[in-house]
Amino acid sequence: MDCQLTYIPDRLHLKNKQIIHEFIVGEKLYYRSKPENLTKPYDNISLRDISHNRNFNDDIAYPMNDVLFNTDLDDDREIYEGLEVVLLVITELQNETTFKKEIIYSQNLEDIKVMIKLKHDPIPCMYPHSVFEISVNNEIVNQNNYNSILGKKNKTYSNLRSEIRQELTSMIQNRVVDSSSETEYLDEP
Amino acid sequence: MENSLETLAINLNLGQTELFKEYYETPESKQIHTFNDLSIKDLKDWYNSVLVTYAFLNPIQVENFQNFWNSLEYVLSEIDPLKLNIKTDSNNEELDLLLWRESKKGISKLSFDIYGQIIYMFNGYDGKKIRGVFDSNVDMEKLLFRFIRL
Repeated sequence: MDCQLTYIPDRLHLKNKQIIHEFIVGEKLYYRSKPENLTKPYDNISLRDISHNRNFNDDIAYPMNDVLFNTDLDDDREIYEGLEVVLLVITELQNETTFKKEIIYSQNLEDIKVMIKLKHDPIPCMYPHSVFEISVNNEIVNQNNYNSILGKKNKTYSNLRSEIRQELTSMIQNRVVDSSSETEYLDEP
Repeated sequence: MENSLETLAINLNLGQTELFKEYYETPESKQIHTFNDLSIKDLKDWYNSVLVTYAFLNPIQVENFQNFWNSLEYVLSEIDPLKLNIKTDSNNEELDLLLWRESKKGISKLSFDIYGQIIYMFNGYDGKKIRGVFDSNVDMEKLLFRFIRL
């Protein structure tokens, strides 16, 4: 489907452009959010929508403020007003082509595997659109299934959400995406 | 218990001195006395204000927070409370009480969740991340020490 929004610059239209699976060190990501969710300690970041724009290491063709274009056909606004943009820089990918972080949570005899993965996810009006995709036991979490997969109201899933949130808040706090950053787990204080 | 608290307070004072060297360079015997008087009074006000502000807390969250506060009350008689600067917050998507503080090394958080867990988190400015999930039986003095020292 072609982009139907006339105010979106042609350079951002998906058209026949290819998905670029590879991210590289030094590439920038732009994250749009309400200012109140970008104040320390950043814990109000929502896990439901953690989309970004990537810049393909090209600040001129893909400037930061592109991420403020509204691409929702049901919303009349052309530009999101009053939102802030955070710039993250990819600093380490450990010889991988993108950022991946696996979290294994042991529950009784069963392990729950969560994966956070940075993916290029172009949409018709926003070619650089990317996401930190979250999957639980290989099932990708989206707006429609969030409540039944990751949003479950119990201790286990509360802990999983908290841990995912710690990963994301660390990125926003330090403005970097770093695959080599490990978490030290404490058994006692 | 009192001995362990005393040890904690001494360690804490040493850690604080190291972390906030420039603040401790000036003579502060008079300041400590002033801060002590102020902090003990304020601490009770702070405790009450947290319970009013976060009225959604369930009984076990209140109990865990009270245990934390008890330990803090003792420790604050031994160290300069202005260096702690503990802030309170909550998460829009969860019903957790969040205590957090920022130092030159990063942001430390203690989350008191609705399941009675106390979660310690540290996100360092060097990328370091630390995480511990504890229940109500956790040694609160040690946890407080960890929360404050980084």
